[in-house]
Amino acid sequence: MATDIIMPKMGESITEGTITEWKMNVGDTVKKDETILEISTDKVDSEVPSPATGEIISILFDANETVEVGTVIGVIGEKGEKINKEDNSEKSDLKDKDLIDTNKNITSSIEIPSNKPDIDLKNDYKVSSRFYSPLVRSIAKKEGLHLTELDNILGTGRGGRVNKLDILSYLKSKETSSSHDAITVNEESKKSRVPLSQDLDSKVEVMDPIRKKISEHMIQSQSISAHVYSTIDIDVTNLLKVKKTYSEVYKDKHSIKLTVTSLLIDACIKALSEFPLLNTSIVDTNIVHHKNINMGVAVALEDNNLIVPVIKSSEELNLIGLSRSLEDLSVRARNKQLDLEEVQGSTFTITNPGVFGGLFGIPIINQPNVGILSIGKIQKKPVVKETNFGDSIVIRSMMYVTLGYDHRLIDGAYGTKFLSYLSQVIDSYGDKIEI
Amino acid sequence: MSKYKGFSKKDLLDVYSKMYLSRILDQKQLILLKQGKGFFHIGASGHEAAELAAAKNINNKTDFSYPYYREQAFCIGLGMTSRELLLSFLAKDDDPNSSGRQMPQHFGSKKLNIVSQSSPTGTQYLQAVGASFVCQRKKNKAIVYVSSGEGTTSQGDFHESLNWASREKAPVIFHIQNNKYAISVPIEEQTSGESIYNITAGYDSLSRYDVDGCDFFESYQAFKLASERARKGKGPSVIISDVVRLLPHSSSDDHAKYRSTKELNDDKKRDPLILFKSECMKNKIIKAKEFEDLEQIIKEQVDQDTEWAELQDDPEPNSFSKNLFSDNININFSNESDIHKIDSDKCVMVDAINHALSEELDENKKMILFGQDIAGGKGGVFTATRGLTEKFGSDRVFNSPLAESSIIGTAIGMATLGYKPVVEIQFGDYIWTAMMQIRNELATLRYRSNGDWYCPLVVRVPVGGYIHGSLCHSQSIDGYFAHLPGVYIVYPSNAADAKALLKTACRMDDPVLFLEHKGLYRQNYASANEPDTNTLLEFGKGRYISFGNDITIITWGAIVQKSIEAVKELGVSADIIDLRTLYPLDIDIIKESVSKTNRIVIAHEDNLTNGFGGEISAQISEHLFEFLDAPILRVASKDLPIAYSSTLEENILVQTNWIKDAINKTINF
Ligand SMILES: Cc1ncc(C[n+]2csc(CCOP(=O)(O)OP(=O)(O)O)c2C)c(N)n1
Ligand SMILES: [Mg+2]
Repeated sequence: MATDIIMPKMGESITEGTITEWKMNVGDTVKKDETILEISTDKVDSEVPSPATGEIISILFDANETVEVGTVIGVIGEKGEKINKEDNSEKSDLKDKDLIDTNKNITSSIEIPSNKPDIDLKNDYKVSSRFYSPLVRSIAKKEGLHLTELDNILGTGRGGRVNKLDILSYLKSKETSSSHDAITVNEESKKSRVPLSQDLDSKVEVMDPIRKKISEHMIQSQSISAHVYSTIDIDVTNLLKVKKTYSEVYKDKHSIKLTVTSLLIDACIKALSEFPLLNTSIVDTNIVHHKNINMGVAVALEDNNLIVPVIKSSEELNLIGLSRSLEDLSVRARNKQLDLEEVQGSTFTITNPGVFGGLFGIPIINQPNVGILSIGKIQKKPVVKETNFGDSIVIRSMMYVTLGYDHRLIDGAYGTKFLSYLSQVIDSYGDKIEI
Repeated sequence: MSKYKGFSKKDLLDVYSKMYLSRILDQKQLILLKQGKGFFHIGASGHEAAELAAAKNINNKTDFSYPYYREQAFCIGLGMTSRELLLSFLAKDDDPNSSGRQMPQHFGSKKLNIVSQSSPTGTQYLQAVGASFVCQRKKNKAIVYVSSGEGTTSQGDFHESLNWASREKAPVIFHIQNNKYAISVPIEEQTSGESIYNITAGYDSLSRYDVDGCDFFESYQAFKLASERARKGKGPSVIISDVVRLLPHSSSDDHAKYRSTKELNDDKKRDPLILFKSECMKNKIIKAKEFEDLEQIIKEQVDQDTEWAELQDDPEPNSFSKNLFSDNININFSNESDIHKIDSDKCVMVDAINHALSEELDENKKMILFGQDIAGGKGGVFTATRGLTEKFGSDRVFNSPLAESSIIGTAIGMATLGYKPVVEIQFGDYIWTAMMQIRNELATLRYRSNGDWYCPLVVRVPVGGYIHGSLCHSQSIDGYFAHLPGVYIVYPSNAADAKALLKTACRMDDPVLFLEHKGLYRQNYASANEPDTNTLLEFGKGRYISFGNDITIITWGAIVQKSIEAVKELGVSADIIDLRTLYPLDIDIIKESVSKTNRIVIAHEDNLTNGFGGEISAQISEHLFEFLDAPILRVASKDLPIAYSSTLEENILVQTNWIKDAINKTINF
């Protein structure tokens, strides 16, 4: 599966970095940690080691380009991993500053037959159910975009309208043949958005880069995914019992904490193995099935930010390993000691608003996942139980769990069945955990 | 050979032949019109004697004439030929009056010093007074002739003219041809006491003559006296000629509908041609046969001239846009970098304007300044002209009467005769009484005379609000005037531009409306390092105040600063364009910016509806539609009068927050 190469943050105040040199080209194989490029920032110059072993399948920014910290600058895929694009490398990137020239040619280029795929000008963009601005139409026409192609570009303008930057970044992603960039939400368009501030007395503060990143990420997700939710009430009485029973043992024997979260992650991994469609990504109209379950766990930071460390190949870990990973990652997350690669590559995410008292959450999918599990607060409740002696009211520890999933791929039945299965796993916790 | 009343027989035959030519031409033109060869005619029949009497006292080389439409005979008297008049009637290219631009009988001839006349009744008077000021300054004894019918004396411009001409003892003759009708309105429904003579009493140096305009000899005497008086510098005269209107008002009129047969027959008895002939015959100077022969020759000549004229070329179809403005501008313009300097002293806008005027007065001895309160110690209500009377004398920097039409009208006259008036209208809010002069005279002179006449004056106008000026000291007038072809419109936002643009205005060959925002006169943010004497900024060049990628803000005047604030407060990346001149509009800078940012806000102080922003918006959507990624938004003041109270004013005039909202909306579209 694909791993992003990201412009690292080289120092607290650094918000951007300049690529000085790519040491590798598209198609080269790299080993994890091998230097793939050099960057320079206001503070330091640095080599950037590869985040994964594989093949460089895309380079998104050339040498001498300056990009914001956190920006994906390239993608590493597994050997032979293909992105369904022909090579357009002779075409130069369509950048903002080129637009004047691009536009200057628009009028004349309408008449001039080009080597672009023939498009039916009669079948023009007016027939779309969506609104396209004159500019977007003229760019689409010039670039020979088919109406269906245009209709599939994700818009970040008002009401999801495709604006100039959307179409330009789509075109760019087309050219760079990046599976990653097929998600066509652009970063620049976000930059230019201004908050409506009527009140002159309000203090205006620039978002820190992490917040910005989160903000972009969330908006991006909402405009990409068709969010849908199912919620279930799970009896965690047994799970709590297990936790109580084994936490001493874990502490003494493994010097780690056995937490409700690690038990829930464990159960979730089991459920995901049973429902693998929730452990995928959508790229264009392709479904990427991930081999491993890389479990993202949302961790709230003290500065109000949020980070999602990833327990890689979590399905290979037993409860002990999971608990250890979880503890390690969350401690280091709070201390801001995580490496970039440790917050990348999740295939599914768990978030736990319950620890802050939330009954249940309605989370936004962490892209490029298709599912996210939100865990609510555990409460003791009177529950009606059916027994052989008739119905009786018992006190049980109950917990709402909400699954947010991408309806583009997963329907209600599948999502809800996953939850029911998860409930069964949790309910069936007994003595059989690893010690 | 004995003379009759001082005229030789030859002179008298000459006078008659001209009166008769005019009469025959009236008839000929009406025939042609009925043949579908023309569309309009307005006749001089019945006015010929008075007009010839006037013409005989005017020198077509040194004097200047402003004849009205019923003065074909006057023009013939001055030397206009039947061919020229027929070319005019047929709207032919070679017509010296206007090359087919104006209706027939709108006279003008460079050769004969007849200043091209437009259609409004009464505007000519103030221009003639302005022209007479130039004659006065030339000290060559030249005079100015101007005329109209009696109905036109009801116009304010007429009375304004008498006042100012009389104040200056101007060498001008006002000729009122009283045919007792203004179209269908009889003099008793027109004029106080039915007497133009009486209503013109009371002007200090004005001489008045009431004459029988059907009697050439009597009329001639009056014009002789009046012209001599004027040439001696004793002052203006008004001559009221009692004439008859033998034809309906024009070819579009039927006077039988409002005049009795008796009255019409009575008028015929006073036909000046018959009276002239019979007086000559009675006194045995000219025989009937001699008149008959002369008439025959003239008739035949007119027939031949008509045939000739019909064969002449129509105006070139593609010449229709010629001569709105002068084509050759011989000014050494400066670079942008010379205008916004960093090494000179700072000055506020009003001082920059003062300096520009002072420098240009030094440069051009024909430049003069006038307006209300602009002279002496006051130096203008905003002190733009302070110290200039002291420096250049009251000959060159002086107060006008409190009459805006007078200011523009006389300035047109002076400019037409080669002077460079740079006049001030005290407040844009009060320019409206001069609107007729601006709309129908100032803006059209070059075009309507096909380039023969032009009036390159500068009208400085303090405009705009944000000064607690209420309804009548806050108005923006740019929208009105931008609608007007033929006038350059300049609207600077800062001292440096103001100086460099005003100096250019003073050197242009066409009228310039120079708008000065009152609120910017002493603003710190509108102050600038002062450009030097040689700095001249070309019209039609907008300026980037800032560069950005996300949005273009097109603005001018006081809203430039508000746009800067809005952009700063939002932290957006914006091209802010200060247009600096609305005519010419710098469409190139707009195109350049819009094709980059694709999103536009137009912000101006004038109110929204029909504000110039609407025009810019329309031009963008017409020419740059494919570059638009969002609708064009306009920020403008409310369509309301401007209220006095701060809390009300703030809700009417454009505020920075309004611009911010528009930017947000556009960027987030
Ligand atoms: C300002 C203005 N108002 C109205 C008209 C229309 N108009 C043309 S001639 C005329 C009557 C003028 O009468 P008078 O001044 O007595 O001259 P006459 O035609 O009788 O010689 C009118 C009302 C005009 N040309 N200009
Ligand atoms: Mg009349």
